[in-house]
Amino acid sequence: MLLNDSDEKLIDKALNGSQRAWGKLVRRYEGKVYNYCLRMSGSQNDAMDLMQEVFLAVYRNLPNFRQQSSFTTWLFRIASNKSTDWLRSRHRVPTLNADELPTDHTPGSGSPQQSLQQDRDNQHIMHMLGELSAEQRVVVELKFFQHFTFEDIAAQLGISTNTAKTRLYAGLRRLKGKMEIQNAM
Amino acid sequence: MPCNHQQVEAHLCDYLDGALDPALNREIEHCIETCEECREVYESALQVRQWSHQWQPQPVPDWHRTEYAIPKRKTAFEWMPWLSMATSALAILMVVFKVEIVSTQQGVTISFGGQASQVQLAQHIDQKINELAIKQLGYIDNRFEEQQLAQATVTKGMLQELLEHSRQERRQDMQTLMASWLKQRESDNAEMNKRVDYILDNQIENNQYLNRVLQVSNTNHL
Ligand SMILES: [Zn+2]
Repeated sequence: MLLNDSDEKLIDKALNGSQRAWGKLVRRYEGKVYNYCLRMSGSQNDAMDLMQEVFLAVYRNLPNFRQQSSFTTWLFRIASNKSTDWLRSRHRVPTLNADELPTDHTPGSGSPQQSLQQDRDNQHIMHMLGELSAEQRVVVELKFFQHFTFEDIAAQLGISTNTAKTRLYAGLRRLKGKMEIQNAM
Repeated sequence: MPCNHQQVEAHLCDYLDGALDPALNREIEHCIETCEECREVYESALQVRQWSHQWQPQPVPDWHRTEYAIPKRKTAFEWMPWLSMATSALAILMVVFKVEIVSTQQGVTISFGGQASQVQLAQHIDQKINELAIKQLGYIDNRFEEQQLAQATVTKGMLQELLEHSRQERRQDMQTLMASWLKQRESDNAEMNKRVDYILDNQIENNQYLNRVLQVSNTNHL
């Protein structure tokens, strides 16, 4: 019975070739990772690509997972590396600029008005986070949306906790500036 | 004294969580009241925290979870293109580590002899990666001819970048694998075979991934 298996157990089974265990592990985390990718990339298509890249990398590195950290912390270390690489490479290729892509639409649950409002909220949040540099964006995401400690974030990004705090402060300051511009319009 | 923003930078999140002792808490409050920049950052943090509550989790569109990550049981046919890669990986091992292979009842036992040279190892890996690069280029060219892609140059550039990336990953895999063998000469056979399988499986992975990228770029461009 895989339903209540711990992450560690599923990882063991996946390493021994169980597709079911791997699928179970992916299903357990894909929602978290997909929404993370949405906020990091700002579009559904890109989030899908990024998420698949993340899980492929997780799968490839699974034999190296040593369980010194929780699986979530380790997973988001990979996700953070993939997404910052991705954001940086994005800026090199002007034809793929996220700002120029049409926004995607997903029908949500609840009444049409409610889902429209939720859609607008998400769009607004993604738009605002898009104002940050890749480095700031990932720290804001890991702190406020994933609730990691600064120690975890520092380890995930390979930086010091002080650097993580500096990036968060700079990112928040930048966002405040952008919020004021938005409010003035 | 002018604010250097360091207290707020260091303790803002604990302050928001109400996790500071009273003295430090008062200090942060004072910064926020007297320093405009620290106040802005604090307000921004409140806003972002609100966004994290407002965010409406989106369902994941359907995708191939296991097919994408784990190849199906390999048939002899699927193995063919990669058989050469497998044998050459073994060849590297045998040259570099002066490997002795002995058949036992449990299967095959591998032991290491002699001193391995890091330089020699690096050269072998370089050579293997270059061969892989040539194979990949040939593969891309064939695929593009087959499909007569519009905007082929742009997409091709992207693909080459992608494959360059995959070669770097392959190189890292090889290096990690070899390095760990250097360290533990009495390696567990089952573990070792599993890791060889991983690297080679991921070769197949890359082609599956490439096919998918091609499909997507076809839909976008045609
Ligand atoms: Zn200040």
